[in-house]
Amino acid sequence: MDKNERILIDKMYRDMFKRLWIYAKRQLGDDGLAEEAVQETFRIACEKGRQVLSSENPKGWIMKALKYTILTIKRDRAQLHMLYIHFEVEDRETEMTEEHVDLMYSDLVSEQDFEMLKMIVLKNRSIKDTAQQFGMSVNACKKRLQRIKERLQYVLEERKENGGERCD
Amino acid sequence: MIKYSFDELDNMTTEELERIVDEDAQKSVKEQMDEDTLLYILGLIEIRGSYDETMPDVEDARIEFLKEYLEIDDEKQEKEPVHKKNWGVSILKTACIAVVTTVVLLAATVTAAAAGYDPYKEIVEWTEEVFSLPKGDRYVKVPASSAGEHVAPSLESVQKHLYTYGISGDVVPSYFPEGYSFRDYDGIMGWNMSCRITVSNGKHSIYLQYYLNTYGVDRTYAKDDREPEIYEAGGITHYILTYNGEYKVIWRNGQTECAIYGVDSYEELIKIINSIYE
Repeated sequence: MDKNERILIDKMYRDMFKRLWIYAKRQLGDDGLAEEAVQETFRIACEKGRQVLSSENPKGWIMKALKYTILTIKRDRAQLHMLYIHFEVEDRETEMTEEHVDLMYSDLVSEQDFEMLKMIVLKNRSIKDTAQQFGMSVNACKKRLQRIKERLQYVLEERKENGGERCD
Repeated sequence: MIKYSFDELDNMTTEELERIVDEDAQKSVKEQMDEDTLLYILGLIEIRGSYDETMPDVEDARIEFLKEYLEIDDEKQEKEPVHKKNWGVSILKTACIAVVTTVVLLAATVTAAAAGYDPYKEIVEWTEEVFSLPKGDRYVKVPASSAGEHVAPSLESVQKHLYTYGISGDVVPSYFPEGYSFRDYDGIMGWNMSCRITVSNGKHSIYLQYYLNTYGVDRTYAKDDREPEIYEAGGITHYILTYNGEYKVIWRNGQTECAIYGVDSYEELIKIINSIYE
């Protein structure tokens, strides 16, 4: 993004932030999540700066991008929720034997990771609030959640292949 | 698609404007109002100030955006002086931006890519993958009937743990498929309590999930591309979804948002739902 593009998107940020935040707040029901949606929308707009500014209606483009971002937030949280639901408390405490070495939970998802997941899924906290709670940047928190999701999906897939349930 | 003139919108109350925004968001993309009208409505809501107390400061948010999202640590970032919102000035500023944008475009040799990010297309696809309870269901409360009094002995532990979390028995099934019994529970206490109960037959688990005080918080649930089925029982509207070959049901009773996951038979799911109110 060149300097002119950056200046124009910066102006749109200042002009549109409040209106977009109100829309996101009404759809997501939470101040933190609303801010997350607007910030993520402008991150996308910065990535696609040239495309935004060359569109017929740049502000309309950003409004549509916000709608997409809100749905993405909802979908990602719903997926994390499903993973959390299927991951039982006892899985974190089970002593793994050599037979279960591929499913060694402690090597895949730590207690801290599970607490982070609960903050997002149960307490419905924003990425920013969660990042602050764990003393990391927003981007680091996003990457950590992505890794948690991938690891949990791996464990669940392994469990399915082993007959549906963890072995007792 | 209902169209509003700016004069009509100017004369509406804030509540009417908010309702228009919320109803529009529930429509399919093709039926939604154009973005300019939506932004105009949001601008009216903004200048009426009902969100001023909780809305983040724009300049603070901007600096955080540069630092956290773009990872630009520019020490020269300074807050612009905050000007009192003046819609007339804002329109003038918007017009100036439009002029500048046009000049930049005319001077540039950039052409739009034939393929690339299209938020419109993405919105249509994502809508099929998530479900949230309609806002209208929020305040329904069905008084406790005999539900809960006939809980099978093997499910008494379920009842006991839900009471611990402050949930009454009129949301608890009294039937589960043969061989299922209480396995474990997990959750958080507090004003935004949530609780998950697992029942299992040793090979497969069914999960009950309850959330309290969910007003204003739209929880979303993963689903496949099948339309949700509405099932009425006990005076409550239940929404049956499918995901990954399993059935789940979502409903709200008063302040409690409820979900049952992991049932692999439609007939068994109906029996489970009906048993809540029998």
